[in-house]
Amino acid sequence: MSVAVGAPLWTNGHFSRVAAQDDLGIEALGAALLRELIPGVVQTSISAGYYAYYPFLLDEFERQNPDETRRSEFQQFYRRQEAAFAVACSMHTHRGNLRGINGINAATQAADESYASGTVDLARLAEPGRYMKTPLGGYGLFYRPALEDIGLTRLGSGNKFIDRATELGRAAAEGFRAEIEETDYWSEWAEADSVPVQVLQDLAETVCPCGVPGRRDHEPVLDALFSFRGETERWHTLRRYRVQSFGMLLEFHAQRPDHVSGLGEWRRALLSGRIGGDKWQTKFPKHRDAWRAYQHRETLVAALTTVFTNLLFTLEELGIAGLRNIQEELVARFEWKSLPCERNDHFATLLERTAQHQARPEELIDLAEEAMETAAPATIGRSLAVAIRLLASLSSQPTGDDEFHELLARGGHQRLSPTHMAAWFQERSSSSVESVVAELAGALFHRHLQVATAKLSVTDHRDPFCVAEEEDAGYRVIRDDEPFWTGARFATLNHLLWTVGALDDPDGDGRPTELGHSLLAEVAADG
Amino acid sequence: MDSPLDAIDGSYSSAILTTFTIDLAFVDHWLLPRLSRCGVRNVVVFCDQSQLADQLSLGGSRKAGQHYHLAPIAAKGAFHPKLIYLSGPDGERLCVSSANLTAAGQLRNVESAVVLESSCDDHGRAILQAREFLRELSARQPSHVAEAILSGAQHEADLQPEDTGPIFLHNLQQPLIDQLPGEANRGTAPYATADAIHELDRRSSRFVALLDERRRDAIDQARGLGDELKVVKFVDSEGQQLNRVVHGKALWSDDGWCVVGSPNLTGPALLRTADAGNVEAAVVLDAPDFEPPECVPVDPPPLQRSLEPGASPSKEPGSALFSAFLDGDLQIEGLPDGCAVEQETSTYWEHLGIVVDGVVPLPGASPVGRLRSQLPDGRHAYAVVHHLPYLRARRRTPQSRLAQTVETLPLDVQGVRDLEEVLGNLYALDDLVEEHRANPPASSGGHDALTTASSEIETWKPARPGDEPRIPDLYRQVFPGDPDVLLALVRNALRLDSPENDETAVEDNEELSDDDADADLAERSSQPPLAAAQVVKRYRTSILAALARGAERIRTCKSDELRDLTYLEILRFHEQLLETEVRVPVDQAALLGIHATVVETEDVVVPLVEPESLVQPRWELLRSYLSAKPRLAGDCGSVTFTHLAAAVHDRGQLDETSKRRLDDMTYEVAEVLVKEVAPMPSLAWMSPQRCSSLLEPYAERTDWLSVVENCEAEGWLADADIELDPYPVVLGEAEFANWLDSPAWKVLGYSCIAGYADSDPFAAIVSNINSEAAFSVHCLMVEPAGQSIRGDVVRQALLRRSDGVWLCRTFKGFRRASADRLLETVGVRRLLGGTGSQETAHPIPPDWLEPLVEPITSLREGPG
Repeated sequence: MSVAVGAPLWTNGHFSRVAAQDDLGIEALGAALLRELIPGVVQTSISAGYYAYYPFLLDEFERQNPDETRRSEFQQFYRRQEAAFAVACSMHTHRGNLRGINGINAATQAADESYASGTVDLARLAEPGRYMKTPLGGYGLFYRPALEDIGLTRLGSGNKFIDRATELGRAAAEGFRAEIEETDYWSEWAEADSVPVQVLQDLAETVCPCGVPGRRDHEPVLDALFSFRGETERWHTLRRYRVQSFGMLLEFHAQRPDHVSGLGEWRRALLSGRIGGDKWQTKFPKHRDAWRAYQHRETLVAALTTVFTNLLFTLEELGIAGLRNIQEELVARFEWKSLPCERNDHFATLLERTAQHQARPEELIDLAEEAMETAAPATIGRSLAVAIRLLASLSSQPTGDDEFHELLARGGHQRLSPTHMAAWFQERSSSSVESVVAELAGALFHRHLQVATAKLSVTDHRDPFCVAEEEDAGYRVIRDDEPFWTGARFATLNHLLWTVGALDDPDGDGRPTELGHSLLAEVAADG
Repeated sequence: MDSPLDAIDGSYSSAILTTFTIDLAFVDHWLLPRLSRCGVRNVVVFCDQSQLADQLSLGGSRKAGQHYHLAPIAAKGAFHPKLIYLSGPDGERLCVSSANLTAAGQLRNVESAVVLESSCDDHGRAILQAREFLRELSARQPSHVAEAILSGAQHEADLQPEDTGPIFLHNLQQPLIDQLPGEANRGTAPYATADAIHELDRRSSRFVALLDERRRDAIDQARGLGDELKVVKFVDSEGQQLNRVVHGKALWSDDGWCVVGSPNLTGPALLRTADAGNVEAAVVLDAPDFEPPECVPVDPPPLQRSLEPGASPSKEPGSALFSAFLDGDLQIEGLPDGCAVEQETSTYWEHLGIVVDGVVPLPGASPVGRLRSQLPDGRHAYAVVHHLPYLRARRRTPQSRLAQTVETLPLDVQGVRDLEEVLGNLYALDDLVEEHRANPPASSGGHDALTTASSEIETWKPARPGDEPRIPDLYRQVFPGDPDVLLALVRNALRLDSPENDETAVEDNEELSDDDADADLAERSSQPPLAAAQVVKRYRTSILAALARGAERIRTCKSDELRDLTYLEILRFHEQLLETEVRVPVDQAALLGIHATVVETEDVVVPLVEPESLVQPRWELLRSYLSAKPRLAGDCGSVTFTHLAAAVHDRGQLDETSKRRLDDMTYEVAEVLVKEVAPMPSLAWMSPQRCSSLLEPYAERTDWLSVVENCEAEGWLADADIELDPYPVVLGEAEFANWLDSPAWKVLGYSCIAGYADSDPFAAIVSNINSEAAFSVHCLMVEPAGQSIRGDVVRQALLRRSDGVWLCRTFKGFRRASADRLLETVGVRRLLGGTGSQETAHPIPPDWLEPLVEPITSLREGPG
């Protein structure tokens, strides 16, 4: 590093753009919990077809190049094949609302542009940065950790070595190979730079992820997702958690009344153990308790991020302001009539009067949804009031066993665990409600500054702050935030179980199919 | 220059910084590591008292008061200078700027700055003036701050105040405006007041204030000045409004000089001395080419609100400060006796004690972080606890070059993440030891070992809750050299880049589109880090040295647990090194002289350490571990399996002694590994199958049944069998013409590995099915005699077909290491040539052959 000495200058600054996630540093823990609850399925691994297709590509490359270990070499082969797969699937009329075709945007555009010529320039589409920017496309971006967790692949370490299909992965690959080998694409066009549209359309008829049920890769994929195999203890645990999560969703769809559907109801069911008012009859009570702890935490995250979002809205309206001004403005705009107590009452009063929500935990989701929906400049006061009611309700610790409470305590004070936040509010039970509201806002504001500061990096030039300091004048907003809670894998699980044939609808309104019922029975018996 | 903090570069021992606003988290996270990398151990930060009070009302710092002195200054207006002054044996550097010690000031805003150095002849005057300014600031500070500044002064060079060059200005005695060398004609700043602009204009033929259109307060304050006020829009190179705030301040003269530093275009900054206004500092220097940031004139915005001329921006009623020093007792200044002092906890504040005679008695552990006390007027006052012994010790301790190692460590994020796991394991071990302590093993002698182990482990723990973990003695004791790579790796592991933390959130955002995630993650897909070839060479040397010390550590470690852990972690380090690449500029690649893959025209990718140079260190590590009663189960077993197999694979690259030792050790453990342990499953460069295939040949030679099977498989013997009583004898049939061609030699040679496992004799007996041959039975026996210099004796007995007489002979000087030479006839000739005794004839078997008679008889008679 060289510094110009003796000459005045203007600094260039370090940041290139304003961008960051998890502004309070509390959301990642929920994602980590989800990975424990349902190993082998990540938010974006929503299509069972890819659980056979990617192992097939790895296996096929290994067959063709047995001595090659470098990932960089695999990449070229991979991109060409996935580009073809994406274009083919983009032209396919699916059996339902198939989502999650990796690289679909560029593939659709390439398909649109190809109709005149009748061929698709796959070599060009597969070039770095085209159909997907990530070097290893949808595998590298979305499925890689899932396939490894589920035992279909073994990761090559670092950035250098190629991943390999495991024995299980090779079985899935074989199923897929049996299908694709019958296509003209595979026998004649698999390495061609340009491929006729018709060939790709035929390819999709055979291998599109919407058509896994009944195909020859169906059984191996079911085996990977559900079946028991003699492996390590760790694998048993991962498998047990995964299939129990599958089983819970199948139970939910089997037991819910018609009017109960969607992510919100799934959250309510997880938190309350009731489905549409009736008791959830589950074969997996222990696992459902773990999901309950997760949902409890996520509801807390929703409340805290709602408060922070409203704080930023308030500051945005103030222009430039110090924290004390922001706190005063928040308190002034707070919709006090929404609380079951007065603003000057002790916080203990609010804690007592909101504890009743623990008797009907699904109401906590109602509160969270309302707080998040009203987090807007025009309804800051309402949103804040609901969020505070929610936080007070959550501070009455729910009942559960040691494992449940261990999950609630996960993350400690560094990640604002439910246990920590309950203690935080209890410590302030003799303070007035309005002072606790102000103090919470201040604590979250400071927390954001700390979290963003910790993200500062010599090599990363993103500006992670939501606010910029204006010397002694205070702060101004440079980036908004919004309330957030980590997904409960509802959309993912629905789509995944639909592609594998266990549900009859991919969008959350499905019912278990015959296969779904039999899988549920199987999982209930050995899960 | 991205930030004035870029001036912190080089080698120094002390630093004094001044700032108006301060962000303590930023100081901890960004400033201190930079100072540390330059070797700075003695740090004083002066800041504005009210700003610090506001900052402390938000939150504290784990490092303020322990890693640096935090010295608030109460000014009539604002304590506003922004200086970075570095000193050390190699010289001094001064950066005078407009940037506060905040993320905004140092990383986001457009700030003005100038750097001066003692090595430049004409900078001496300004540096001397700055030194004097800092001494004056310290005059009314607590003694620990003055001590620290005096300590830094010991390295001050004897500078000569030249009459030329930059001049350092401050307003402790004289207003800045009176110290300007002539007429100022232009100026810009984010804050302005009419009185200052008017006075600048009055003293010159023409003065124009360039004010950012977004600085509404400043414009309103200066409104009505006519031509003296020019509202501008700062723009980027494409003419678009700059998205960064211009916070820099400067004055220009048509004579070619300019002023750069802290003063705004306000009365408190320019027109007053410190006792009536702000405290300010700046440098005036000739810089005819220095211009304001690119801007275009715009119409003034409408009046925002009515403000009194000269009024400073409104301040909220602030919190207060008090001082707390830990030097035995907790000494308090700035609080009346009887005040209750609280200490921050993770959830709230807890009562620490009552101030009595300026002291708070401490019931237990020393407080860290921030303290608070409620003042009689209801406000809260805050304090940072200064740990004086710690600060003094820190000042005395020389800086390790380790810090520099961290700076240039050519590791990718994955590598760092792996290393974080190393740290995690060490903590896990720590827990384990705690468990052991709670439930000590019943066996005697365990206590001492455990005490040793736990005391070593505890050195990892942070000194105080929330601190960074410390460098563990585990490594410090055996890695005393600098730069110490392993320590650096661990240190680096503690500072993971945040983008990795975001990955989860990207992945788990329900609303995220594929494209969003794609774009976001793809941006982070990184190439190997770029490093100078010289740096890579330095790292190669130090990494290999570190690995050698690792092997030494394994040898000397008294605790089994620590030995296992160290062994595992160093081998993981090996694995990572095998996959870690760096980029070096293509024009430097020749310096490294190794195979490289060109990924871009300007860089080449090379391994951080050449794989071939890791072969010998890995073997040394394995040897150290395997020599120390290894635990060949669990992770240690798996890791040993894989890496031993890798060592066998790379055997050809070892020196001759190492080859022999490798063989010996592999023979010792291969059977256990192959039968009872699974190799590591996840290494791309060594599959489990490959591991097994490499070690199985070793394992087979240590198991008598496998020896027999192999003798048959090789075609040396037919109907081969083994007798184990009274000692192992491999026997079978074969066809041979003379005793030198007899497969008994091969059988004996192949049996040596198993046979030398103890001191019992072992033998090979071959019944010759060649009825034309002179001998019908060939017996060979070895009696291992230990590590004799003379070697062992091989006894031979040949049963003459014609008369049933045993012809016996002995061969001396046989060693196990020579065993493989018996596997070839030419080797037999060479090995035995000249070592044999005279042949003796025995009508009845001699004594040594007696135990073999029964096997021989059964062999000749055949089954049934």
